[in-house]
Amino acid sequence: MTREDMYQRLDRIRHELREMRQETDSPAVDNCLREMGIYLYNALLYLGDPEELCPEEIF
Amino acid sequence: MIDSFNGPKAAQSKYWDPYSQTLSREKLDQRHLRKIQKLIKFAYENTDFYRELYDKAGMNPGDIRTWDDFYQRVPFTDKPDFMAEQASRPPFAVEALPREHAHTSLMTSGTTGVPMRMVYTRYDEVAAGDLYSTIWWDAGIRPGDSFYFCFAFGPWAGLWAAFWACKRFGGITYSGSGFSTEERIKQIMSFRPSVVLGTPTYLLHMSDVAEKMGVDLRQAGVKLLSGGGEPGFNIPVTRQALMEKWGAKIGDIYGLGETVTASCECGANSGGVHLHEWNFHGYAADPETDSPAPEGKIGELIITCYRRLGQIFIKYRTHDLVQMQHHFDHGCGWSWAFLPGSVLGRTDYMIVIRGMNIFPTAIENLLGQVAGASHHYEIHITRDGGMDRVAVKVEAREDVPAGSYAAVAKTAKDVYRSNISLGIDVEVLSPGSLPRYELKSKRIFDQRPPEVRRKLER
Repeated sequence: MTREDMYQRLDRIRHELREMRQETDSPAVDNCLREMGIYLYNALLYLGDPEELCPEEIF
Repeated sequence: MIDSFNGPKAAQSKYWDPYSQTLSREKLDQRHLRKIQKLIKFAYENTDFYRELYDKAGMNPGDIRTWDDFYQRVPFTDKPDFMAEQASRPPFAVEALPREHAHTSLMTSGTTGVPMRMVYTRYDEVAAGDLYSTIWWDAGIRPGDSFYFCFAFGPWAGLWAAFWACKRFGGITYSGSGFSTEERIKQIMSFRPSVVLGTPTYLLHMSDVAEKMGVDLRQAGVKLLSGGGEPGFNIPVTRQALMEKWGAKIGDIYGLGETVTASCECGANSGGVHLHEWNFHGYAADPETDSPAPEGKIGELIITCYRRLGQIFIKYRTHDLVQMQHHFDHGCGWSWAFLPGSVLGRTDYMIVIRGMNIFPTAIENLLGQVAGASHHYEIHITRDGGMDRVAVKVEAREDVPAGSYAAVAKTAKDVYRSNISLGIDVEVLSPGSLPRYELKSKRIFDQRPPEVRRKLER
């Protein structure tokens, strides 16, 4: 898998996570998804950090 | 079957973050400008501090299109700005995110005046841990190794960042908090950690205490001494003493409490640190003009932090003097800017004698050439008749008889005169005369009137 492929797959997962956070009624699940989102953001950062990533997308 | 801590390909990597650590200078600089533009816009839209600062300067975030715009139009920020902000909008200066995202609050070491309160988000903690992870991976430390903290887990940020790194990196952490130096030494001999974390001065103090206990720390199997808080890890006399007494490599970290961490040493042990350019933009500013200093010239490090979002630091004056090299080859393969000797001094501690700029680091380094002098010393700076004067107090080594102290002092004076053409008063003291510190040691005492000191005393 290329770096670009990995980036795109992780970015899709990140967007799915954000959608799921809107849907879950469990604070426990929401909290885990939020934590995963922070780590996913970091993984994307290590893979190349394209322009569209900005601070307000982390939290 | 339980998977290994790292995936099979990652486990073979030479670098913690291969992409960023080896990215070309051109691409790093392109990214820096993009990140700076985004951060300025974010800070303007989300903090009163930056909106007021930039409005007052007649600057709009959209104006910053080039490096010249950044260097010439964006105002500097400094610790007093943040302290004033902390006083007027307590408890934290320049918060950009809703308080619910705040995760940890710590303080600067606060050697003068009121400490600056800092607030970190979860994201900041993960980012801060990256620096230590980078240095550990390069030094051959891997999940399964272990870490011993000679640290009270008080409000000083530096070693908290190392602890946050451990939580990601893998490997057991041992806390030395609440134990005496003797107890910590016994634990280190028992636990045999791979990495011991502390300030260089305290780690040297531990080695002295161990010798008195009849303990040889080289038998503990420690691979790496890491940490920071003061420049000793890259001061040759201190570095050499630590490596000899512990039988371990050194992994220096340089950072500020405000921004947590900024730079780290590579595995090539090349006598300096690399600026963590994935987290920060940094440049050396000429102390006289504030313009970017030419490549390799000493200047004040000015930093902008992309991965510290609890509070925003843009063009922040560190008051630390560095020599920044963007083009070098010492075998590590990193592309991040190199700072030989790490921090070379402080703008506020620069001494001007007969028009010559002298930094205390030079005085410290030369002590290594003085037979009979130990690594415990203080530098006192005074002003007499309009002239800056420097005096050094240094403890003699244990094996030097008191009758030889005057000879050691004369040797030291001769070393200073022949190397930096400076007449320095040297007083040699008996071992154990000077105070020892667990966190940042206080080695420089500037007793000049405040109005003649160059800049802020941090």
